Amino acid sequence: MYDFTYHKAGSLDEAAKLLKGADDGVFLAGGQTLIPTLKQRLAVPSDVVDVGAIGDLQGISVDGGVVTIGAAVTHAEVAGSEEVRGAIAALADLAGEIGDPHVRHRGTLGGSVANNDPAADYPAACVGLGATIETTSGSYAEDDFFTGMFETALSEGEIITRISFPVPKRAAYAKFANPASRYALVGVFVADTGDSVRVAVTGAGPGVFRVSDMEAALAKDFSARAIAGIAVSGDDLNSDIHADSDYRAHLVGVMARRAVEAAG
Amino acid sequence: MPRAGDLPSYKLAFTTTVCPSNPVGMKGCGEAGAIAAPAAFMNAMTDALGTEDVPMPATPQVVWRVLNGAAPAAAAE
Repeated sequence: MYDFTYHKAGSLDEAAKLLKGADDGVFLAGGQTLIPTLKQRLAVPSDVVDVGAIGDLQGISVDGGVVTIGAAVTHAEVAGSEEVRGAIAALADLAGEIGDPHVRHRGTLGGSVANNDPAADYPAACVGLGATIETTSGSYAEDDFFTGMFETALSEGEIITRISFPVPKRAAYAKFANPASRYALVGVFVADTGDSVRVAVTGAGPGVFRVSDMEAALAKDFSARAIAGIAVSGDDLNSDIHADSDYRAHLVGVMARRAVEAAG
Repeated sequence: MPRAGDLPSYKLAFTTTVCPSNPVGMKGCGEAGAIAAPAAFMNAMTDALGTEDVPMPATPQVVWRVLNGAAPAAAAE
């Protein structure tokens, strides 16, 4: 790790000012990606601005059929929240399967979504549930937010403040985890909103994506049988030492069927 | 693959039975039990899959390929 200057921001305004005043500053939330990156000397920021304790980024509320979670809320808080579990159990389940207990007690919703790791779990929940991502500059529909591998619509200095998840009629997340890292080799979030069905896949491709053939089939018949014959092409999927693209394509089908069965 | 986070809380304790056949009373350690396990596991795997051609490590992807009759991929590089 190289030297940097650490700042603990007390407010969003202060965080913005600190970043603007830095030569080459970065925001720190739970640090579950940034700290390992710094330790491996893959990043050399002059200043690290810690936003994790800012009051405006805390809290969970359920109101009017929407679950709203502050960006600095940890995965463990979401997993353990009776309010979240009562409204969208699939979201609490997903948070409870991220990494390990150490990761879940430090990592945050906003940090995960802002990083947009192609194998992260939360992007699947955002896309699967049709979430709205609120930032210091405005708000984004989830379809406009995740723009590519580790890429989002966030601009320099913009901070995610909270994310709103509409409560679906039924939903579930099924994940085939890398046995070492617990990242998703493939994770599929299926949600039936009552009006439509959304199938969001993470881990398999360069970024989270939806499977429209499955969505159309499930809208007519919400059963694992309805999507049993739908194959996903491995052409654009990831291949690495953990799994080839054709195995990942196979897992998309398996995880989608498991999610549909779990959603009931 | 269990990791630290999967372990329950436990207490450590010592039992002392000195080995009589060497001057410092030392004994071998706990690896012995681990030696047979992979062989037993792979025997079960080849029996279940009906082929001897199951490379190690028998990851889910390797098993999937064997089940689908495709040439098993080489072990992870």
